[in-house]
Amino acid sequence: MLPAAAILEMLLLTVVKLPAQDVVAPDAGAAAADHSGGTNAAAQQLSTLHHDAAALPECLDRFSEDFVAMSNKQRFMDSVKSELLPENFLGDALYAAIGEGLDRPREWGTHLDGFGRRLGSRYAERSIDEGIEMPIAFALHEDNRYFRSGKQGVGARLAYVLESTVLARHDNGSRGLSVSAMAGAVSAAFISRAWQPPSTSSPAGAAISFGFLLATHALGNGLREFGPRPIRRLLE
Amino acid sequence: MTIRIGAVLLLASAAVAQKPVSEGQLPQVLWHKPAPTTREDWICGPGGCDRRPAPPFQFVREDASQSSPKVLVRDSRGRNWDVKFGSKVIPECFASRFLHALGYFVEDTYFVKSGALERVGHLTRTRSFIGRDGSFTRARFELRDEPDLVFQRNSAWSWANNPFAGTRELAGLKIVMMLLSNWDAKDARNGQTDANTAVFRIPGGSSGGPQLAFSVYDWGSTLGGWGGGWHSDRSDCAAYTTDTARFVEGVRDGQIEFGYSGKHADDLREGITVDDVRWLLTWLRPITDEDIRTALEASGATDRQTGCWTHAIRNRVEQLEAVSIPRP
Repeated sequence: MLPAAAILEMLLLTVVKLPAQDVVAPDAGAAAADHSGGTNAAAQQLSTLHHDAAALPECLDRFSEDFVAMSNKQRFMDSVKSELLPENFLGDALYAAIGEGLDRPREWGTHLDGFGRRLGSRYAERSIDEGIEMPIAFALHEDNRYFRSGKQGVGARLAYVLESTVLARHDNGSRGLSVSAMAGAVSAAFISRAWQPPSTSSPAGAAISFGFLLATHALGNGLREFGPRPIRRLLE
Repeated sequence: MTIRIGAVLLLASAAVAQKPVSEGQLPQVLWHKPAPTTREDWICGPGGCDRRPAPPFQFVREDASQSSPKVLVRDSRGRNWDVKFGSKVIPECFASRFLHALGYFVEDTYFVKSGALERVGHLTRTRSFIGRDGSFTRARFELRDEPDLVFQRNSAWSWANNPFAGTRELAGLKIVMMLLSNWDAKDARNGQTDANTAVFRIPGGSSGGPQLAFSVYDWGSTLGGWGGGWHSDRSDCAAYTTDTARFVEGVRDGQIEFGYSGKHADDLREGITVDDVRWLLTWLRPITDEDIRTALEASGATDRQTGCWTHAIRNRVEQLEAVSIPRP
């Protein structure tokens, strides 16, 4: 819905003749409504240029060669975004739905109540995972963001996806075992046993949970590597 | 801190945007008419290829006090260099070449693909960029302490209030800030130590005496997404490409509407007229895609990044062209 001020402005502009040189690209949003009374050549040219800006698909993704170390502020913002972005809640819901489908843990049942518990459990588990991963990554200068491989061939790309699940980049771009990601996943898997029912509260249950966490990380990386652009953008 | 003005000194008599001398004050300049560029200008930047860092490099000290960690080194010719690593390398190297070609004052900045520092002392924040043997890769070297080019302490100036308010040269600099997506427009209002604006004392004014050159001296936060606190980054051609689609949004009442956001964004994007754009295009038009590619390659960009940034920069210049054409 347009803000009242914008509506008022539009009404005023219908009775106030604007200079003929006003040029606004038709695609530029509310602030760019064409006030000149029609689309002119410059506006069309701007609109074409705006579309051409994204004409090179290889320029819209971040590849491994694009890696640069994050500043501390960027790290913090990245962590906050990771915690709050709605797509992560969608991921949690998917995770809970899979648990619902597998009826695991069985004590929580397969009704809406069970889904709610699984969703809450998953959110808490992810929060622990990220809450532990973030400070360790900060201290060790590890960067767990995913950058597309830029490699040719499905095999090579798949290998990159899988290794990226357990590797992190350091400030200079070199890669090594991600201590922060592993610590976060292991901690989340074991700490979350505290609220699990008996069938999943054992160390074996924690190990399975750890495997699930790594699998979801790998799945996310796979979607970032092979998924269609809208999915990749959603997961950025 | 020094800046290299190269041909500027020879062209000082043609300097534009020069403010008159007030009592006890040197002439102030923001811009000079640039000389036609050569391939060497795009490869080596304002300092030229003769002034490139000369190894071996001797470690002097680490400066961890700034937002970007860096080390100070001395080369084999006894010159001091400020060396940064990471996300500011490509942006600063490229921006120095681009700004120099447009006639704005920038420091001598070079990309060094790899090298080694001798006698490396205790490191903290730069430890992850410098090996135990002193080796490093992908560094930005900026020349310091040249006796004829002197950084003026506590000289940060404000975008909102400076001697060049209302000039096309200042408007041009604002457009270039947005063109390169430099979102870190901190100025005197952010404090003298945090500001990215400063004044340098340079020789060779129209009267033959020294001048004060107003400059934006930190271009590290460019070539990425402007987007404000959540999305701002640097050296990110994907984000730069995305923002390109809203670089120029239109013209209203003869003023250009820019999509830019960043620190002091209102001071940068408001009040830019079509005439300001036309003036800047006079200096942008001679810059070819080949020039941009050469500068990006010399700044450490990969082939793909070079192609992406060149395409996006050209697109932004064409957006400026689109709104500069006189309409009936």
